[in-house]
Amino acid sequence: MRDVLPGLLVALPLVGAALVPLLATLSARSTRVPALALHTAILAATLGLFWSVAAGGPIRYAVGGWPGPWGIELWLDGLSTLIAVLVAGMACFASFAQTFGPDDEQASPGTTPLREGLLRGTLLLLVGGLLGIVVTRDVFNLFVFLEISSLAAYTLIASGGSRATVAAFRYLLAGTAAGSLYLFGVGFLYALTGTLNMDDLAARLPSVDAGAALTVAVVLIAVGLSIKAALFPLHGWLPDTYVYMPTPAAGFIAAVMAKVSAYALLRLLGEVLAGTAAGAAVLEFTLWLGVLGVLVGGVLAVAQRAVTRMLAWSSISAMGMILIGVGMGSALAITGALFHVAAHALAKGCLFFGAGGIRSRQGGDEIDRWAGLGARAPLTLAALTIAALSMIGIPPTAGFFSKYYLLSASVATGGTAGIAAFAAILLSSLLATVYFLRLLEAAWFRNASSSPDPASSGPLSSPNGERAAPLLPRSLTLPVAGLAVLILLTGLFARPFERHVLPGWEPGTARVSSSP
Amino acid sequence: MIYAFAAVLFTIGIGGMTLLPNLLRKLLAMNVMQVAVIVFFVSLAYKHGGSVPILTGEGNPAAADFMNPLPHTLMLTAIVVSVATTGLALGLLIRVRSRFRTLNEQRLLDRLR
Repeated sequence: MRDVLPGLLVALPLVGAALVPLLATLSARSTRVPALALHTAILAATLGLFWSVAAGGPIRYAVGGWPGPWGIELWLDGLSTLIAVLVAGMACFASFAQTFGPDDEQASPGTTPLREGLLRGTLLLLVGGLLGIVVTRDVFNLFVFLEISSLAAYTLIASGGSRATVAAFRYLLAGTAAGSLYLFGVGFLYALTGTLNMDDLAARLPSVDAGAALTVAVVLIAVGLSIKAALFPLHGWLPDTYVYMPTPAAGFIAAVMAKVSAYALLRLLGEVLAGTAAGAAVLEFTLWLGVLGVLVGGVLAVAQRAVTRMLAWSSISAMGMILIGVGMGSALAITGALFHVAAHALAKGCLFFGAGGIRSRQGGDEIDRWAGLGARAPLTLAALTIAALSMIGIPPTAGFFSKYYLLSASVATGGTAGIAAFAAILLSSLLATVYFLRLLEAAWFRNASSSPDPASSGPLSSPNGERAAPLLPRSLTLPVAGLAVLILLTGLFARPFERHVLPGWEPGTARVSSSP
Repeated sequence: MIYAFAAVLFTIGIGGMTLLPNLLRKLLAMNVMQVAVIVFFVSLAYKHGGSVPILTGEGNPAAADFMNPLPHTLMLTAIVVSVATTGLALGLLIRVRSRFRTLNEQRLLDRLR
C-alpha cells in the first residue's frame, strides 16, 4: 500500500478532473455521484496514508522511479498527511454541497450537465493541486501545483456570477504575482545550490556562502507564499474573493486554500531554509506580521455588517494566528499552529456553508437577517454556534486547544516577541467574542424583523410560504452538521491528536529530524 | 547585467500591476513580470563558450563545457503555466466587460458596492 498510494493521491484527483467533465458530455445525467465517489476515494487514500505514516514512519516516494535529488520525490510525514486528510475531507463536504438544482445560487440560466461536470472537475483539479503542494518534495514542482490549484480556484470563484468574476480576476493578478515571486526565489536557490530537491537544498545551503543572493531568495519565496497565505499586509485579495464566490466553493477555499500556502511556508522557512541566517530573520519577521494581522483582521471583522465579510476578515486574523505559531518555530508553537489550521478549517468551512445558505435563503447578508433564525431552525443554528464558539476558543471545542497551545508556546518563547504574541492571541479571542456574539445574539435572542418584508424573503424561498421551507438546502445541512460534530470530536480528542501528528519535530530547532 | 535587466523588467511588471487603472493593462503588466522570471532562468543557464548539452561520443565531455539544460526545461513548464493563466484571465475579462461595460478598476469597485 505504501508503494502505490502516494502517487495515487495526486493522480486520482487529476485524472478525475478530466474524467468527470467527459462523463458529463457522454450522459445527460448529473455527475454528482461519480464526483462524490472520487472525493471519497481520495479521502480514503489520505486516511490510509495517515495511519500508515503514524504506524510505520514517513514515506519517501520517487515519482516514476527516479530517485532524488534528480527525480521528483513525494514526502509524507505526520505533518503532510494531516493536511492532506483535512483537504480531502473538506473537499468531500464541498462536493456534496455542489448541487445545481433549481434551489441553488449556482443554477444560473443555462446550467447544463456539461457546465456542472466542468465545475465538478474543477473542484477535483483544485484538490489535486493542493494535495500536490502538500506532498511534493521538489520546490519547482511545488510552483506547478501552486499554479494548478490557483487556476482551478479562479475558475470556481468566477462561477459565482459577475461580481465574483471581478474578484476572481483581482485574485488572479495577486496569485500570479505570488507565483512569480516564488519562482524568482526558486531561481536564486537553484543558482546557489544547483538543486531543487528540498532535502538536498537543506543539506547544501549551510555550506553555501550566505551572501545577499540567499537573502533575496528567502525574501522572494516568503513574500510570494505570504500573498497566497493572505498574511497581513498582503491580504488585499481575500475579502472580496471570499464574499462573492459561490457557497460550496467558499466552504472549501476559505477553509483550506490559504492554509496550504501557510503549510508550504512552514515547510520551506521552518525546515528547508531554517539553517540559514536569512531564513531565521524572515521567520521572526513573520511572527510580527502575524501579530499585526491578528489584530487588524479582528478589528475589521468587528467593523463589518455583512456576515460573510465579517467571516473573511476573521480568516485574515486566523491566518495571522497560524503564522505566529510558524514564526515562533518551537515544537509546541508548530503544534498549536497546525491545530489551529485544523480547528479553523473545520469552523470556517462550517460557518461559510451556513452563512452562504442563509444568505441565499434570506436574500441578504446583513447580521440583522439572522434575527430570529434560532427559533426557526434551532438545530442548524446550534451547529453554527458550535463553530462560532470554536472560533472564539471556548472549551471543549477544537479552537480552545489551538489557542491554548499557542499561548503556552508564546510563554515558553518569552521576550518581546513572546509577549506580543501572547497579547495578540488574547485580544483576538476578545475581538472574536465581540463579533460572533453579535451574530449569535441576533440569531437566538432577537425576534424576526417585525414586519416580514416580502422582498427580503429572497427569490429562492418557495412560493408556498417561508415557514414550510427549511433554512438550509439539504446539500448544505449535512456539511454544516458534520463539521460541527467534527469540531467537537477534535476538541475532545485533542491529546492523542497532539501526540500523533508531530512525532518528528524537535523542540527549538523547527527541523524535521527524520529527514536525512 | 542581464540579471539587472530581469530585475528591472520584474519591477516594471509589478509596478504596472499595482498602478495602472485598467484591468487589461494590469494583465499585460503581469505578462511582463512573468517574462522577467523566464529571462532570469534562461540567462542563468547560459555559459560563455558553452555548447548544447548533447553528447556526440567524441573526446572527453566535461560538464563545464555545456550549458545547463534544466532551467530551460523548467521554463517550458513556466511558459505553459503563463499561457494558461493569461487565457483564463482574458476569459474572465470578456465576462467582466460584457457585464459592466468597463474595465476600469476603480469604476468596477464602485459598481460592486
